Amino acid sequence: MNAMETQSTVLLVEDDSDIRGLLRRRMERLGHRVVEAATGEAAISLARLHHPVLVMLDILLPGIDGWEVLRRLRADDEFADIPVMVVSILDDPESGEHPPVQGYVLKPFRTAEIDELAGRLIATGVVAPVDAGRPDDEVEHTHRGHQ
Amino acid sequence: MANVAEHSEFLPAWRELLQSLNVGALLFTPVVAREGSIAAIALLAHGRNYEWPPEARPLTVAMAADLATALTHARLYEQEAEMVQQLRNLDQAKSDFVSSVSHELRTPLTSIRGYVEMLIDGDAGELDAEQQQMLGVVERNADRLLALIEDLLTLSRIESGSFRVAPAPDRLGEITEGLLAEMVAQPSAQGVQLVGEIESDLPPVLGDAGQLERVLMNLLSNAIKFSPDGGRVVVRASVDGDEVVLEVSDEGMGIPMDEQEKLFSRFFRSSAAQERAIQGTGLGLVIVKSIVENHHGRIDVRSLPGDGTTFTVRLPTARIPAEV
Repeated sequence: MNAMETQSTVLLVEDDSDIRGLLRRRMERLGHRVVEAATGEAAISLARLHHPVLVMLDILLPGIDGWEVLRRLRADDEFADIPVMVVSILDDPESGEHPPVQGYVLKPFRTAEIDELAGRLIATGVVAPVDAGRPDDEVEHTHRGHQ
Repeated sequence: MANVAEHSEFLPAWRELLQSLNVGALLFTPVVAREGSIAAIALLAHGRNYEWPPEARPLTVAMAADLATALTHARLYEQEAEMVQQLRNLDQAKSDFVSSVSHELRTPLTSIRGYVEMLIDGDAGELDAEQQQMLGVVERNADRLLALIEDLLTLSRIESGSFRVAPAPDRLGEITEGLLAEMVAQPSAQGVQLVGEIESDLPPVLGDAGQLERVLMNLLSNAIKFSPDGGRVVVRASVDGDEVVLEVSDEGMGIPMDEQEKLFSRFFRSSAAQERAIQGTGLGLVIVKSIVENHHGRIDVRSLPGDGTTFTVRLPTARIPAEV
């Protein structure tokens, strides 16, 4: 991959700055540009601004959680087809209702797992059919977290 | 007390009430429990000149005694139920605590492992042999911590009941054969030989295949860890009455008698494991035992120092309605 010419953007949604740094380095190593969001709200705005080819999504976030970010992205035509991979400490991806994701990596991960999955999702760029996200107004927002 | 409604000891209001109810006689008997009088039986008789028959008094006394016993029991039962509930809440709180602590530990471990891995890979520049070796120690210990966290999580899940899934009839023979084939494909460093002696047509057991596989996996990896170089580990699966018996035997150094009973307690590490620095969390067999007991089974250990160890798991066979 020619890093300079084909730089595609990966959106990294993670509230732990150390883990964010780790994932950023992995993606940069693969030749991608990385934009980072520490909250779900920031993730939505950054997605609109940078049109990422992949979203790496933590679930436990201050403010709206990762599943809500996913629902909002999927509800938007522009992001209906972007591959999303979850990177979380939650070891029960089946819990709760949410649109399907294209990859699930449990923390702590092996860096090779991240490289392999992210590389594959960016290369194919095609997502499995997804359920339409729930409309935003059905979802409650209780508080806005800090960063 | 007869003609009570005319008795001057009663307040006028009481007299009026007794009169309107046409009560002629009253018999009060206290209900006495261990802690003193807790209630009273009041017998009210109609008719102005009613006289209590002689047996009325002993009868109500006996009734009061029965009532005292019944009320005491009811109270004890209530207290006991409350205590059980409190213990249950406490246990749940403990499980929740372990579970959230374990989850929280995963976050810092993610960074520790990830950055160490990158350093070892030379992502931040070439390392000399000593630096490699030191980072290797960090990585190994991070992995150890992770294994411990995973075991603690598994255990807290088993204990909180959330690990239970709808049991389905499982073919233990097939699970065992599958796992053996997988493990034989990845031979251990010590060149331990794995041998399966699995009876054909074993009846199914009721349970969760993933959990039963974990039981076998834990027992097998223990057996391999404690085997001498080139030793044999034998897995037997057979049927005995209405139980399926699974045995895992090794030719290791055995377990001293006084340690055998402690094997299934949390964080217990055998003296051999400590002396030979064999890695482990001290939770593996606790998990195994919990899973086996969740499946209404039993686990035993048979070992002679210097003569190997055999773990025996017995699981009840599934009673499946005959197919029509």
